[in-house]
Amino acid sequence: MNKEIHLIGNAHLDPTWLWRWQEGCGEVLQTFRSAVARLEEYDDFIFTCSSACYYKWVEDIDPELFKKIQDLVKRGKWVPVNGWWVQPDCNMPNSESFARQALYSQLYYYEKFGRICKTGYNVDSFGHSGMLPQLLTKGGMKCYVMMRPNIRENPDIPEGLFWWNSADGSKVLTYRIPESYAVNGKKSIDESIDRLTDMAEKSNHGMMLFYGVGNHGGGPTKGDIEYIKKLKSDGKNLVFSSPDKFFAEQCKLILDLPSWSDDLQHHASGCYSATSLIKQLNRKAEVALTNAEKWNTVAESAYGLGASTANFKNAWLNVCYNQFHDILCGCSIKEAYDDAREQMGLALDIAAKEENKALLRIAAGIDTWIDGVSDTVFMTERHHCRNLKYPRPVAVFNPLSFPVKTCVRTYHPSKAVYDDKGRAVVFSNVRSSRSNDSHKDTVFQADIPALGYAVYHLVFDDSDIDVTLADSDVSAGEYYLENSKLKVRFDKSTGAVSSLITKQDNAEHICPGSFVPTVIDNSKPDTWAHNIFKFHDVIGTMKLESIKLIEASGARAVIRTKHTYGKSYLSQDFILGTESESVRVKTRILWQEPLTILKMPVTIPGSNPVSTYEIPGGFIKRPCNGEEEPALTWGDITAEGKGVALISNAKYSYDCPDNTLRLTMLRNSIFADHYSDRPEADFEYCDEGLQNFEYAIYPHSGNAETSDVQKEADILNNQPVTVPLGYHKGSGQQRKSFITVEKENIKLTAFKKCEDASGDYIIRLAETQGVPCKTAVMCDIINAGFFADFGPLEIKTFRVDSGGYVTETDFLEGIVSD
Amino acid sequence: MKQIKLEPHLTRRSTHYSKDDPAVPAELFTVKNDSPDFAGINYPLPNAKDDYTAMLKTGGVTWLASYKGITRYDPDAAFSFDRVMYFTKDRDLTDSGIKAMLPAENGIWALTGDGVTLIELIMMTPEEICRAHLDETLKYVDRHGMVSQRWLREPRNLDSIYPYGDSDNDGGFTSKFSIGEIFRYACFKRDYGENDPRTVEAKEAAIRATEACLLLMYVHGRGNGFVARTYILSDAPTPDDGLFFRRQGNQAYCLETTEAKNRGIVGLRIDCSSPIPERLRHLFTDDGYTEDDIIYKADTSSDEITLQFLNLLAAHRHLTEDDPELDAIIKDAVSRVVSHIIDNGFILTDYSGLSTTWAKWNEEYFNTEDGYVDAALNSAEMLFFLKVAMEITGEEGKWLETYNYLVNERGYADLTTKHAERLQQFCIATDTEFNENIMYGDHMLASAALTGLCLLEKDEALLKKYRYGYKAWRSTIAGEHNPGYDFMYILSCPDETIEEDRVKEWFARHNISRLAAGVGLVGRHDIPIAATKHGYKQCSSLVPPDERFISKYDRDSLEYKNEDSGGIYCIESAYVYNYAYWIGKYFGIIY
Repeated sequence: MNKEIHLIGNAHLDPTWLWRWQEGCGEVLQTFRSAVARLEEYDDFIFTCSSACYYKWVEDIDPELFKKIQDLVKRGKWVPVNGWWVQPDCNMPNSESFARQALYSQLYYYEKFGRICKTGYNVDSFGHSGMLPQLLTKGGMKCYVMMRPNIRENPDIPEGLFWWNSADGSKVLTYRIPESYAVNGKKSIDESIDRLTDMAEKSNHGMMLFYGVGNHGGGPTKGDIEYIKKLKSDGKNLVFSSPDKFFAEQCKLILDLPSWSDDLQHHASGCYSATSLIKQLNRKAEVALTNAEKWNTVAESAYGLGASTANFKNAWLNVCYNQFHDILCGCSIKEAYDDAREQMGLALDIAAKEENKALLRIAAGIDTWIDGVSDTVFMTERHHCRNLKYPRPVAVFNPLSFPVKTCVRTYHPSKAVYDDKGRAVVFSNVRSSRSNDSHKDTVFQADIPALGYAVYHLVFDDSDIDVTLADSDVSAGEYYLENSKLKVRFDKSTGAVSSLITKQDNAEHICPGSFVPTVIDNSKPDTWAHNIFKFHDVIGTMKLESIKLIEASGARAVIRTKHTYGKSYLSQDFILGTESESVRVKTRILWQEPLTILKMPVTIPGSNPVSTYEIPGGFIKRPCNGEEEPALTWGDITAEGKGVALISNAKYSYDCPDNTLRLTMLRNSIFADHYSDRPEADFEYCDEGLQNFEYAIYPHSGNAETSDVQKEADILNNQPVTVPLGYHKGSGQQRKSFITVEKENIKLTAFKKCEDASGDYIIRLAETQGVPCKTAVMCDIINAGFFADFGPLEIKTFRVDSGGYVTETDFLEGIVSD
Repeated sequence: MKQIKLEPHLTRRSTHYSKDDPAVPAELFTVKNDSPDFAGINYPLPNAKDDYTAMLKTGGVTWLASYKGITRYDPDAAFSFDRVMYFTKDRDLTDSGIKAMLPAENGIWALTGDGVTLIELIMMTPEEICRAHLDETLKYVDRHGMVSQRWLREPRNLDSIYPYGDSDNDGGFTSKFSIGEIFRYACFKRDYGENDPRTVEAKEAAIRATEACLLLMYVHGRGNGFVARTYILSDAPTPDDGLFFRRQGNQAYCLETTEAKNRGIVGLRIDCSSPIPERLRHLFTDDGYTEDDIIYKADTSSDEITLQFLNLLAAHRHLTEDDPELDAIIKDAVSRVVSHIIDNGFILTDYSGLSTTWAKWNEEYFNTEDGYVDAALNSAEMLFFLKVAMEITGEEGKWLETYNYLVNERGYADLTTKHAERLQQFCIATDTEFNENIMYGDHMLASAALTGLCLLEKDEALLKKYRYGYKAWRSTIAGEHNPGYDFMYILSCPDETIEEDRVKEWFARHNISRLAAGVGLVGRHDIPIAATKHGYKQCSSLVPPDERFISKYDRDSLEYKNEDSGGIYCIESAYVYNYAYWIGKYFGIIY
């Protein structure tokens, strides 16, 4: 038994790739019908298939077929694997996305089949992030099947069976497919069996062979099944099996397996940056849904708003679908991104509406009444409802679980801004995006409690009210920006940041040559960049057209640079806010350079640099060897106790040759250009055209992970929301926090209603710095106050009942039982 | 390694009175407490807010009473772990239904349904807590040198101890107690000098405990390197828990127990002619007993041997310099035991010549279902025994030859790294969860064996493996936040870190007494429950030692229950606290 070859009949299904999702859906139906037919024909044949999404499609479209599948699952002949909605990209979704992939999918499997999937299964995904073992186990999966990178791309990762460990201590028994996930035809089957038999002999345990026509579905053919049956009868040590069965049987053996405690990279390194559109949509949707759900839950628990759990589920499922590896990796056909834009748009729209509903419900309860205001009396000049006799209240909402002090914007100019205690607040009137009306918006510094709000009072710029003003720490000159924390200088000939000094230690953090936008040749790599792991063929730098001081005092100072290259331009507003420890860069790019890459470099002094990146559920340190690396919201380079992080709200790709960290801002490729077989055509290119995003430059001392880089990144990605208020009486105070988390390295990643309609609440928290701790968590609105212990990078999910009593659970919310 | 400063700290003490005791202030019966007001208390509380019925504010501290106990809230506490303290029955109260509270000099008077309790918070140093625990142990727990726990005839009344008792793992627990005393002596000797009365007293205690451990290596009279689990004397009832042999002249016969009957060996006679070293006999002769009064327990497990060897290593290093007699006994004992194990194919043989149930370090066992997961620990133990034998005897010979054989030809060093993987493999095979399969007692064994290996091994490649193996245990050991484990770990793996605040909390938040009275842990509002799918319940967050059940190092500190070893009818030994404190102090981890 111990050296058997387990034959895994499967059909690799890409629901979107070189076709749109509608065709993928049809492909699923055909494949499932075929598989059912084969299962009815052959008693010992077993079929394995991943992805809850496919089952849902079949259930909705062909209920009779679905019933047959339910029966086959019950009989153990059809084995669902991978408790996720699709086989997602495993580098770019954040940890909450992986939680939702598991939550909605495993509950679906549990409801329809009476069981969850115990095996994770992402055979085609393009690399696997280092914290996946935790994300898998907390979604109910202790075993994992993957294939990419293959042995040629990374020969160090063990082949076949191994233990894969993540930094929190989680461990999954992993099978790296040595052959294809879609072996078919006698010759291929023979070759695979020979090779796997040899590997089984050497490793002293069984191996899996994945057979069946795949990519566009299909599955095992009659011919292949007949041939395998013949081989079995000829005495080959083969067994029709499933991954679940394979792992269970191997675990009964004496195993001496290698261990791997790193991520599983690299394959298709170009996919970390290809097609900026889908990357930005993914980030936006993740953030928007998480925050909207937090506010909805606050409003439901404390303000009587109805829960929108089903709405959020529907929205998340659109996000989960579009995290499918060929979509999020930017390597599908252009039309697929038209679909993705619509589906992600729907998710974003749901989030926006839910958030607005919740915030206005909460805001309505705040007491903003000022004696003397007989009513919400207003004038209507300048297209606004305005009252010039009294300051206008504005509530600022912070979705993060730590207090945030940052600049926020409202869409009219002001004469003064006060906080809820009547203290003057630093502000600026800045150029608005409109040409109508006053042309000015107010930017002011808000100080908002954790997952809470604070009310500010803005005096209209043309009001007669006497005002007091707050002092600002911001100053600026033609080529420099400065506040109490940072001093930033620009090179007037290149427009680049030439000096970045932290005032606390008077330390220079960068070297000359930093922040010169650099253009790289991308003509050789295909969309995936198969077999190419470094993008270093520099073909030029962008030329500075102008550098101009735009704002110089008050809440912020701004220098705008404009660069050009060929037919393209890059406009950057370097913004230094009051008391800010990072420089924000509001970026607009019009890019029209086929087959190029644009990177933004920062070079730091010091020896033995280390690069660190946020990954789903944690961070990872990588050698500064110039290979392209996937990351979430930040990448960092640190040497000799000083470092600089580049944070973004839309990008996922960096490289780090020696002392230089480079944010990959865009990568222009032909859509779905596979191995660069390019017939003559008028191609359309991904990352052609206009894009807007923000990045930030954050200098720090000490290690990246124990600095405030994660907080800075969270603030950039989860900016506070301003809600203009009227004058009304209410029971709500003007400053309120709904959840507080005692320790700074623990962040709230979800606050939601439990999916089982029990009325219970879910609070999910994650340790971010690799530092174990005990923290207090307070959430009065649901009568909860509890302690939680965290190991390094541990994610914990808590379920709170109606009495405020708390149970620790996992991504499946305690709904699934044996 | 950063040193951790431990400062004097408020330590709780409860004194119980009857309602008519004249010491109870009369105002307690008439006072009207305020209703609870939670404004300004933005911190988790042990009871749901609705449960609280009364409030007393005194000296900046808020006391909240409920029908479950009393909560003390100090917003200005120097450490976050002191901000909330919780007092419940049976540990702090005789009845948790609080009727009234009245300020007292160092705390409050609490009127309950069945009496009155004075709750005081007394400033104590960790060393003072050690002393209190030690005095209590020496007076009430020590039983002819054996130190584990003692049963009480009357609840809470330490003076009502039974004159006899035993524990299945007496040898192991006494070893850990002994190690604590050895390091106390080593600290005093270093700090005060050899002749200081404190040093002299510490040395006496350390030697007595070590002798008691050594006695178990000779008490059976088999003369073959066997080690008894424990011993009792003839006036004690024989526990119906395992195999007991009573000495009678040159033979010992098996007493009637369920286990003996099951094995069909009641009355079986075996040799006990090998003499007990004179140096050790005083442990029973001082109380008027002879060899013929001795009843020893057999079927010894690997646990006993492992902890005994850690103790002998410490004793060898700190007690034998000017005590050649003790040195000789230790060398002899170690040689006998290790030779026995080697000569019998890496098992400890019992009366039958076959292995005891759980003392197996051979590959045959490692390839069984139980042994497969145990192999990581047991391989480390076997290598540890050999290293200790080399260290103590000063010889290499067959110890080194066997060590090299096991490392190079049988893969034992590699096996030491397999703990987490094999346990996880077991979980997958059985569809169970990691936490419900952990043997928490193994933590202390892994800590002993791997610390010994890491400190004694000089070969860098092997040291790397042992450290890797140690780290494989940390994912679960670390969650106990027990300095007794943490200190050994950072001594062995100096690149690792431990949580300073947790160390401070652990030493600060221990009771003065080791009375094993239970607590009101179940149902706490501030502690999430983490339940496995098969129903095993743990606290998601570790509760301070003075608010969780009292146990030795062999229980899951996170287990979700109120009581463990006997409640108010049991007094536990000092070793839990003292072992950690004196090791930490000796190695300069704490000061």
